[in-house]
Amino acid sequence: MKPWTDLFLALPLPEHWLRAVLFVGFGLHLLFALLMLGTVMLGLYFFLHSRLVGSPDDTPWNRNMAASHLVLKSLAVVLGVAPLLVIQVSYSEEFFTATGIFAYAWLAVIPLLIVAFLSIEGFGHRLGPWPWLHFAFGALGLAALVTVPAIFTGAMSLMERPGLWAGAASKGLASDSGYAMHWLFRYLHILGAAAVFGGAFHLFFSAKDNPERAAGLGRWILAAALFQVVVGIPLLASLDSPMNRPALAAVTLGAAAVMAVVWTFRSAASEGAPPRGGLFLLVLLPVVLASMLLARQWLQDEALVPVRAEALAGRVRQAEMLAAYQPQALEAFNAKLRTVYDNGPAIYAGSCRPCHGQDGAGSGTASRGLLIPAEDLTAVRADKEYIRGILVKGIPGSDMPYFTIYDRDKLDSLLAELGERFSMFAKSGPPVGVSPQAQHVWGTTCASCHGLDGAGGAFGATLRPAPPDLTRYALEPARALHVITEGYPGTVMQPYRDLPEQVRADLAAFSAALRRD
Amino acid sequence: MAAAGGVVYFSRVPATYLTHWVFSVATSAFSQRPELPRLLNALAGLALVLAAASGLAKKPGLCRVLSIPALILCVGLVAEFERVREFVRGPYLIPGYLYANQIPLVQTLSSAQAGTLPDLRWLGGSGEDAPGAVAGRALFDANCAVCHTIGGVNDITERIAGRTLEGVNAITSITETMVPFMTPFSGTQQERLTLSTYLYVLANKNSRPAPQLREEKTQ
Repeated sequence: MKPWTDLFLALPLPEHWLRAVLFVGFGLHLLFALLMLGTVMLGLYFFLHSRLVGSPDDTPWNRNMAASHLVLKSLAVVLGVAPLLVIQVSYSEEFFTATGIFAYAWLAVIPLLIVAFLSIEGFGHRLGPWPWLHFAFGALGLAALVTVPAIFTGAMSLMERPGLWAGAASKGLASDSGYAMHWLFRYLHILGAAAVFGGAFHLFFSAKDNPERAAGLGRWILAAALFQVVVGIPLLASLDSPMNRPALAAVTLGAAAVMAVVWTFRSAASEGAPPRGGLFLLVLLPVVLASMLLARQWLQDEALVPVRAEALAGRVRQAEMLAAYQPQALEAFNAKLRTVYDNGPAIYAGSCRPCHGQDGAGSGTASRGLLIPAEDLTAVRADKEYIRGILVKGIPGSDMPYFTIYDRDKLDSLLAELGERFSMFAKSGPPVGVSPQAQHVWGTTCASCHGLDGAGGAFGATLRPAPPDLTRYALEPARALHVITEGYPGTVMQPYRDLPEQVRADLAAFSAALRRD
Repeated sequence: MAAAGGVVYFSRVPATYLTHWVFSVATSAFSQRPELPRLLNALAGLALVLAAASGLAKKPGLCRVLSIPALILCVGLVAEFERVREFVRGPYLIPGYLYANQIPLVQTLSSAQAGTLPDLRWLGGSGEDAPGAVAGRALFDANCAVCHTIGGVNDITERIAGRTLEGVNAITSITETMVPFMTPFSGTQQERLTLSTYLYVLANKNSRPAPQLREEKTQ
């Protein structure tokens, strides 16, 4: 396969390297996202706690919380970029299908994060004597922030279930209750993880000089870890298929590590003392994160590797099939590159010739199917500004489109080309003596649409296409005679071949002589 | 420096694409007044130069006043550049490889025989629409919807208002040459007829039933 046939096959790194970047990058993104989310949860919790139970001066803690949130948020966002880019390349079909089905919710992530970040910033500021304002900012920020993982977990769960895509696209996401349950528990599991990791983070960084807070954080981590166990069991039960062996091993390891965490905090929590064994925790929590991520990766691979292999094989097949068209495509491209649409001849060739033909006689290739034939431009004798009006507005009810895609200068050059090539703006025939019979026919028949003076009557103006303004637009007598005799197909202009030939010839000359410019 | 960057950028754009810049700024509404974008750009440039000159002349009060319109104009100029950039790509997203509707050049050629519909995995429709309408909408989405909407910006029903069914069908067959920055239709002749009929009905919802499309003579 040549790289040009599908640009997206020319990967910047070998595929397994990309997958490694994705795994590590996503792991770091998730870690900081969990720390950030946990920080906001704790911020609001301690704010409420101190308001309801303890000392009411909480702004220092709020500020401290917002400051660490600011750093964690920035790291989470920045570290999210690489995995987002890699997943788009490595799992393009799966990723874009899932996020496409989530379209509006997926886009809502951006405004949600803006609201969340600004509100949390406000939560950390000194806001005067209004604690409820702090609470409002904190609650709004947390609510916006916890919505984001709900969207992410929903999209990722859908991405791993190719069988549901069609149903979700046509009937909505709630069509499969197994998926909905999995989504719910996966989301709750993320919230619980945020509580555990956020608690551990602040145990090390914000509670060193505050044993009371450290004790509170110990209880918090214990509760969150137990919550993870309780939510983790139905999450495992809601998996699509039985777990493969590596995933099972990883989950077992992770669960054991969580149990060890619970054991560490158990006695301290019951005594109300600050937890001990911090270093032990520093070892255990990364083990939990890594083992759970690995389990997730193995489960995802099981679902997506076959889909991905099939998609790649399809791309290769398509690239091979399309390779034959490459020379033709490049030749057409180069020809187009040489055509500059800034002069009359080029514009005529591109926009007019398909219907009006190279010779202007109205027999271009695209005009073959037209019910109303393209006009023979060589027979037109008209006022230049009238033709410009047709180019700018088209002729409603006919197949003549408008060409405002060309600015005035370009239309000027096109008009010059039309005048030069087909003498379209030459004077029409001189006034002629018209027989009384022809004058009678004009007054009683033709004038009902064309108007007595040829400018188009009130009735004519209602027609689509309306008759041309004959005071500004004429046809050569031979062509006019043809139209009078045979009619103009697809319009109200019917054939008048029952009129004597002399009358028709007189009418043709008469109509040409109506032009006043 | 921005001006130098602009000169370098535009000197690299092929003439065939560069010529669309007036339309990209003026749009259909003002394309017959091509002096307007030139005049407005010149005025904007002048305002920037004046603001800069007042700063260089160490007139802080005047510079502050002039910098407000200058800042607003800068936002406008960036918006204008984005529009110009869209149009000077011509009908391509990646010149020589991918059309603006994200269909590769080679695929347009192959789809004349193989068709576009079999490649579309995500056909919409509630299951109650007529098959022709579902197919027409899918072909519109694949071919046109990157630039045209139905009832919104660059509304397709407005663009083809007043055309006959045959006229719409002729237009869909020559889009690439007729409008220099429009992509060609990708699909079989039959699919093009389906799209044309769909669009014609869409643009003429309140009028009489569509006349029968005449069989295209094959030569």
